[in-house]
Amino acid sequence: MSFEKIVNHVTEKIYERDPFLLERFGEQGKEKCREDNHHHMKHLETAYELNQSAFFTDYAVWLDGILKKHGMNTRHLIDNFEIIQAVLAEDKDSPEKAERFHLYLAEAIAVLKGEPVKGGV
Amino acid sequence: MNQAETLASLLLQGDSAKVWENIQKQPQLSRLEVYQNLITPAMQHIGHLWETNQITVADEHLATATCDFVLSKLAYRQEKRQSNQKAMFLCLDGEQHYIGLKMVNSLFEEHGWETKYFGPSLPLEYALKTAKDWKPSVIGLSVSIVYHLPKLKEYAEAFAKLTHKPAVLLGGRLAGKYDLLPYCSDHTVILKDLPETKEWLQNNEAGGQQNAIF
Repeated sequence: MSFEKIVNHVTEKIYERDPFLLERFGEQGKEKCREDNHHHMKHLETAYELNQSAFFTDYAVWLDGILKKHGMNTRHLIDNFEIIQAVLAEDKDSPEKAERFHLYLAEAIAVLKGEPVKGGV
Repeated sequence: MNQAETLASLLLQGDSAKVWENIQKQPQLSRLEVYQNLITPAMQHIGHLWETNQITVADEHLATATCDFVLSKLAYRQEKRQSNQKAMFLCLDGEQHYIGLKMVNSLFEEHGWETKYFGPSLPLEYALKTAKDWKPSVIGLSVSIVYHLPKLKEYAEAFAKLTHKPAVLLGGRLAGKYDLLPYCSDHTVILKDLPETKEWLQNNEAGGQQNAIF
């Protein structure tokens, strides 16, 4: 699983979906988006290696708090996580890992939406 | 503005003289109390200010550099101590949050230990080489950022295999937040904060005295 490839793909999709972002934040904003997605992947990897979804969900909640203070809303982060899920679905190199990442993302999305979370690992 | 907020604002100004003056206003405080009741909450408040977009990364770095200087001044002694009790302190590879580790190092020095303090991010191979050559009886590790945790097991297991059997202590922000035992070796001791570290030092001294008697 190449994080670099996934992050680039996710960033392109985010900007494709909302071209207004480039207008508002410019190339620098896009670079920050890429950096943020590297952080998402590193936290997913940690949750995976240590078999503990809380490392990712706690991160998601913490990050959501920070992003809100920077004028974003929770929907932005949820959209970002959903796009990662979509890109991971195309990853055929490590299907088991991609599936686990998908579950961690789903759990974080549920927490961000304030939904009850079932079967957290 | 409470005490921590006042100290935080002086740290953010990068004014080490004013920070020093502020701390000296309470000469009755022990070193541990200065660390635990003044510096730690001030640095935590600075973290909160960054998280809530009230200060920038540059402000936070200035505060950290100022805090680092003041900690050095608090702990300064003219001669390097020589002791039979040796301890080395390091942050896991990639970990940049070293202020807590620096305070732990200073507590050990205050208790008469000879120490080596490596600051942020020390790759395992170099830590291991020093541990083999210098043979400290304590190796202290610090980790604050979640994505450095996968390396913890590797460090703990490598140190557990050392033939001189050092005690491995683990601290840092995450030690107080999660149960990190599953990612350590069997003999790693987790210290959640500075008072627990002080307690470990006192128990170690009591144990050492008992050994001397028998």
